[in-house]
Amino acid sequence: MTSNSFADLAVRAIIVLALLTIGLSSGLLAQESSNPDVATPADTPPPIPASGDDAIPAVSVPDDGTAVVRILAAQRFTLETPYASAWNAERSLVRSGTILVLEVEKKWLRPRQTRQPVLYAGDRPAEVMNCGHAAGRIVVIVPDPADGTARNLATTIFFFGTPMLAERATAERGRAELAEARAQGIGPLSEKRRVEPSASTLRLADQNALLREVGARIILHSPTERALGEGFLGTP
Amino acid sequence: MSRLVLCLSRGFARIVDSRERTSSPRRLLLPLGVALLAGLTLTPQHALAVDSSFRRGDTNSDGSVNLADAIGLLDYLFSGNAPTPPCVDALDANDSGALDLADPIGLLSFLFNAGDPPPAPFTDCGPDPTFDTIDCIGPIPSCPLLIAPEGEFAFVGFSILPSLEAFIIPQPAPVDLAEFAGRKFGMRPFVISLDPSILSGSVRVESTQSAVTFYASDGTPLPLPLEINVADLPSTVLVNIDAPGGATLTLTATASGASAELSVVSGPFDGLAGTSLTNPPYFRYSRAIPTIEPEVAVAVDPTRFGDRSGQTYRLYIVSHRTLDEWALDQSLVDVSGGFETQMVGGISIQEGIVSAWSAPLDGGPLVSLGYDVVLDFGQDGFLDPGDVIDGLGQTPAFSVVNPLTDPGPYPVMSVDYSAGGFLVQRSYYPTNMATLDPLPLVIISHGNGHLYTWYNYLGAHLASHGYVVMSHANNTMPGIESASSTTLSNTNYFLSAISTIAGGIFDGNVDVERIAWIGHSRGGEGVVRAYDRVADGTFTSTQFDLEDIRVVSSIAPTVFLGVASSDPHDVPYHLLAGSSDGDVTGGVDCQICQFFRIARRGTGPVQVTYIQGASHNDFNSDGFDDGVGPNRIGRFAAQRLAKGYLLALVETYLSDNPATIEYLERSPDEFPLSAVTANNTVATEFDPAVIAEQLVIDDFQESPNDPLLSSAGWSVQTNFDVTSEEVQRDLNSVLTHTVNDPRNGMTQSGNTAIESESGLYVEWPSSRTRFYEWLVPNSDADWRRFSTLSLRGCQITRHPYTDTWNAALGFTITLTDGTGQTASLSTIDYAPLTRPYQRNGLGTGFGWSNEFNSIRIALTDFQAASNLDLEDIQSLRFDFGGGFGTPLGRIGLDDVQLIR
Repeated sequence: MTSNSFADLAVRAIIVLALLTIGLSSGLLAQESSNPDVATPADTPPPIPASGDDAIPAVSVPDDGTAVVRILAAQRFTLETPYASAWNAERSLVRSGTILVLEVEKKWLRPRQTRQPVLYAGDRPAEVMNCGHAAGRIVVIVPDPADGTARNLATTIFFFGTPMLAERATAERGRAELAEARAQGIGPLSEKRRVEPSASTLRLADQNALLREVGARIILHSPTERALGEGFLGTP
Repeated sequence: MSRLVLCLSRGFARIVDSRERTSSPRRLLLPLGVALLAGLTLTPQHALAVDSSFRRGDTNSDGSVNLADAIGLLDYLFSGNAPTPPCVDALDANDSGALDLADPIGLLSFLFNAGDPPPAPFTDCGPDPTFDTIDCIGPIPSCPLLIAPEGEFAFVGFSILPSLEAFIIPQPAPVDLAEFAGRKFGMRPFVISLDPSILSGSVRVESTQSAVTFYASDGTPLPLPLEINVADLPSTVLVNIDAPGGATLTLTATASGASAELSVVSGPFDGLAGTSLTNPPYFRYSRAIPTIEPEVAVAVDPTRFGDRSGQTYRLYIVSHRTLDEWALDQSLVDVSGGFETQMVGGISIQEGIVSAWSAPLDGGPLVSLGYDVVLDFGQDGFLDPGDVIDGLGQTPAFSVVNPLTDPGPYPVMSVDYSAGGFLVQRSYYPTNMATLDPLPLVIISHGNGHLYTWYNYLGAHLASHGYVVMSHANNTMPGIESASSTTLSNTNYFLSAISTIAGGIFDGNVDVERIAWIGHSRGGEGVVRAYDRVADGTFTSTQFDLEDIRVVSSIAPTVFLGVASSDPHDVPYHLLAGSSDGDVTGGVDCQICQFFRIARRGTGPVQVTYIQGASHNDFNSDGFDDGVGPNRIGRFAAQRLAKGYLLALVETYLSDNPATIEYLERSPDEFPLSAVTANNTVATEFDPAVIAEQLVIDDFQESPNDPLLSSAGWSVQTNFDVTSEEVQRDLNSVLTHTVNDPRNGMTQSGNTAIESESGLYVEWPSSRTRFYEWLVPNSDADWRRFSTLSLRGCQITRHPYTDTWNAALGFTITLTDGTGQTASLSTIDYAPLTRPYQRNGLGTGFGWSNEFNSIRIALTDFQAASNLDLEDIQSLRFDFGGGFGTPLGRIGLDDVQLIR
């Protein structure tokens, strides 16, 4: 990357953050999506159909604990309006959590249409928001458990589990995947491979606002996916 | 103009053809008078009445002319008590128009003094070619032929059906007078008259088929049975047929009880235009003529237009007009460099083929340009009832189609906008869309790890042809349900916010009731799942209805959810896939990759485009190269094919272009997208919707344990040693050939309870020929209501015979009618069964998917090949090996059916 593109990137990031701070774009976007007929990301898919489907594979964790290299950034957030996650079979509600930027071995990020290993944060799939294959960096949302307690990054195991669709992963499945990961000796990231969450917590309106935070980080950490990041930011 | 005239004469019924015949103007009196009374623009040279068939001089009608005839003639003239012979015209031996002594003298002179022979008809039977007051009222047993030597339609009698049928192109019955003004040009005029000496009673007109309707010249519907008082005769009626099939019209004189019958037939009719071929069937009818063709040919098949045999017409190619336009202006303006003057004649289609328009052909500025074909039998430069027009109504006779891979006429711009989250879109549009009618909407849903910005090639291409194309961010990472939600939410967003997005440029410029969903990979399954959710009611929108989604297309889709949930239902569905795909491979080892399963699930029109050498990410701009296999065609060629086929798709289903479906229905060997795509190996498959107008001869589903009984209940006979009907699902998930896996390579049916697509498997060595034959029961023998014989076939991958042949494969299809007449056509001339792609992996050997190819043969092609009687088909037979096609092979067959 040239120095010019770095500068350009930095300028764009500053502009984005400034916009987020003064809330201009959020107000405008909220107005655009106020039509009740306009589906928002909160319109999550229905539960998995019960029958007639192709088989979901048996638990088989391919990760040896080296896939997730380190946590580069961590930002706590809360939402005024929760959303139903598309990343597990129960469509559990997300009220709070942590935005993470992870450095990952690239081979785990090669996008596939067929089954890909699901990234777990503990016993629950993390919401992976970008491909990250080129940069080796992904921005993920790690929702808090239902009781609202924040996940402790020092004790949470990050691993790639059985290749399948995350939306088909049940809570029971998540527990089985975690057990298998532990059985393989995968443990939490060491202190030097992670950062602590930022001291402040972002208090956001809804999933759209959360995705704007994600978008800004995608632009910053995976510049080849700028279009994706800018889309999350919103371009009225 | 040509007229068929129904006459009741001397108490007997007579049906005559009042067509052009300049050689006998004396015979015009009655029909011309009738026509003029009816106010029609009948000119003298267009009307002619003819008699029954007879042999002049054969006074006793025994089939020969000899002394007995001369004696009988003298006896009739001078004894005073001889009975009237059945054919008085035969006694007029010198055709003087009078019976007198000169007749027997002339006959005796011919027989014994080398005098002149009697005038025609002699020695062959035929109608009287000259007008006089002496008629032959027949029928004459010794002259059974009702076809005159000149090929005219000539029938007298009241108990014999004419052997020739008046052909009428089917068209919808007009709904009102305004529509009648245009529809009348597709109707056949008849004049009903009666001998003037009959002054009482009426004539009753009946039809054996309700599809036949009568109209007065002013458009008044005439319900059948129709009763016409003698005082109102002669009377002109226009006959319309709104469905293919045949009918018998019966006229009865109530005073005498005498009646006459005339057969009318409508269909099958494939049009008039197409391209000429060197081999049988010698002509290919088509609604689409690519501009790369050297000419447009027109075929006036004498077997179909036999009742007009001998008539001269002017052939016009004219710009397509609507009914209203024809109603206002009937002048014929030829666009092909001038009309051709031709005569209907001969005995085969080869003699009816006319080169109507030589290249360069004008496809107009858009995708295609429509034309009508008019056979102007009146030769007056105007369209009249009684002329023949193909293209009357909304659908032109044919369209000249520009290369579908070429960009369209409109400059294109794109705009990016976002409402945040996954409501992120890039839309492509013609810069002048505000000056155009509202444009259909195409929505693209990308695949996993892809971006909505990766489809510029497709968005720009379709937009340049007059579409608004919106490509959106797609949440594919969680899975297919999530992807489908994104498709639905983005569709909703675009429609609901159309007045504001991108500054409101789309407001009023999009036809929101004409939408296509195109998805790639996970997005390809996502669009099917989205349709399924709307169809089953688990997702509802106030922005669009199910009916607004006119077509769904998947590019290399996954099948994660199975076909119970990713179900196209009855929407027109299209599958586009490549054989070099290294991700969604289609392979036998990966059930969620077996995209053919989705196509098989659809109950609407299904079309498949399978491109050999194309890989998964060839269909976007930036995905990494995952291609596997030899002879890769590369991104540019793959995208060129995708552009062409997807343009054909949206033209067909969003713009109602009647021509472009030819590219989806028929083999690329018949319809290459453009000259530059001719070298690509593409298998195309088309299955019509499950509709009533089908006769499924064999889908190999119902009787797996009895392969000698077809789905239609027909008996089957064969000399194959082994045939099997089995589910189209590979048994062992590897492609290595083994006798234990007769379905090797099949991926049409998945391993779920609701999938049981079966097919027939046959193989033949090079040592002998084989056949598979369906015997048609009499109840199904009339095939005239169908237009096409359709089936699907594939080569079985990695089979030793397939490997040995190592090329595209063909066989011969033969129909036999009740007279034993056969017509044979080679499938290689229609759709060669593609050689399996030579990809390795999944065991030993080379070969990949068993991609099916649709073979669609117009039934009229069989007629053209040998004058087959489609009303009485007795058998359908496939012959393999030897001189019938590829010398050896193993293939799968499925869905042998007749369709309209």
